[in-house]
Amino acid sequence: MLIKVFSAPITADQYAPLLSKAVIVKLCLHLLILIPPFFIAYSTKGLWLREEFYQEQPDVEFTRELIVILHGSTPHSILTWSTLPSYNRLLQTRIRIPLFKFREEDANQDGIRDYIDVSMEFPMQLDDDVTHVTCLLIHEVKLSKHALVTLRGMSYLDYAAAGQGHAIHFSGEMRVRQRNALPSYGKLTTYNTQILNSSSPYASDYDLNTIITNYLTRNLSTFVDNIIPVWQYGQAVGQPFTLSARIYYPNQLLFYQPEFWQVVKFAWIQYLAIVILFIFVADVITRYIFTNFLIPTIVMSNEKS
Amino acid sequence: MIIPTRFLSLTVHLITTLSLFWSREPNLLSCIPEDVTADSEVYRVKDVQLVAGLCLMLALLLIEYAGFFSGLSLFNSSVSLISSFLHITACILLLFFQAQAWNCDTFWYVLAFCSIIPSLVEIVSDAIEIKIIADMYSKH
Repeated sequence: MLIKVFSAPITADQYAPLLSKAVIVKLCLHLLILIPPFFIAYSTKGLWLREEFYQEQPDVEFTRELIVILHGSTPHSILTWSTLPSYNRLLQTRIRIPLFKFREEDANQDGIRDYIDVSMEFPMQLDDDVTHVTCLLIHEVKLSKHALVTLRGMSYLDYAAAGQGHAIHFSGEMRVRQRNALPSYGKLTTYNTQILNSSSPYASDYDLNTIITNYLTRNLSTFVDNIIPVWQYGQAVGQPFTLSARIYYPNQLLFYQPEFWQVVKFAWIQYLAIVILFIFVADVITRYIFTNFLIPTIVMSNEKS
Repeated sequence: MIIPTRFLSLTVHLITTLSLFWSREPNLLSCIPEDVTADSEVYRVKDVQLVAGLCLMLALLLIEYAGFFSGLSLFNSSVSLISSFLHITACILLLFFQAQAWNCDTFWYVLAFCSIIPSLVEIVSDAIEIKIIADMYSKH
């Protein structure tokens, strides 16, 4: 009785001259493996990753720049206040200085501020009335998961009521508005420029229309979303007008331009997954063609004598 | 094995070509301007062109069937390989042509590469075969 202790296959190698049918068929089969998978991967969409999404809670800080305008029921009854000295100088007659408090709270203590509480109490005189409130806060926003992005963002709070009131409370969430994908590396500080020109002596620089129009030309900006104003009607004599707001800085979905190697990696994964099927099919075809001698070749055994 | 493969590849190509006769409207609509409706002159011209192309494809398939069934190229494995490969490719492309409503102009590429090339190969090899047979008879 014999026991099989080892086995090695004896291969029958097939050879053909350089310019022969067999070589051409072999070449065609190689091209069949390499080219169609690319077209399949491309035509089924998403071969080249153009943008990718990620979540990040922006690091927001109030820059202590704000403008508040309280409109009354007549066109000239305007009270205003700002933290910009030149604005206050320009509108000296209309300035009403409030008791201003703000606090940025990191509720979950992860080092990133979660919301800001702002409150202002405007002392009111007998003939003052407020029916419309406009408030503009400037923030500095930092994104750091991919590229280091710093930008100035604006929170625009506005509410016009049907009648005069003594308090308003705004609640909302700050969102980053992107027109283009963020870069995946490097620094982006293009939009870290002043929104309110705090030293300008010209009134036109403080026109809300100009400020907002200029602000919205930015490709990267912030806005207050899901904004809910609660207006309290009526006004008691000697009571201040209270404006308060809580703006949350939530986690948000942002999109960015993936970098070269990420794009190549995903394309390669897709291409390779399809190529493997083609390699298998082409192997079956090659085996079939050459084992059945559909194309003439020269057979030589590699068995060592 | 190459003979049944060739027969099947010719047949699937024939079936997909025939089925295109009944479902050519989406392809025609995707190759005319958006504001052109299905009863316009532009549409009619494209329709006639596509039907002519399909008829040509059928005729070329019949030529290949003739060469195949008559036995002239039945045992020629090179012709069979080229024919099988190109007809299977044609079948896959026509299925996508139909399913994804490709632009009707892409039909001409399928016709050129997957019908005209194999039928030319077929005609040439048939001619060579006929010449060999004729020479054999003339010698006797």
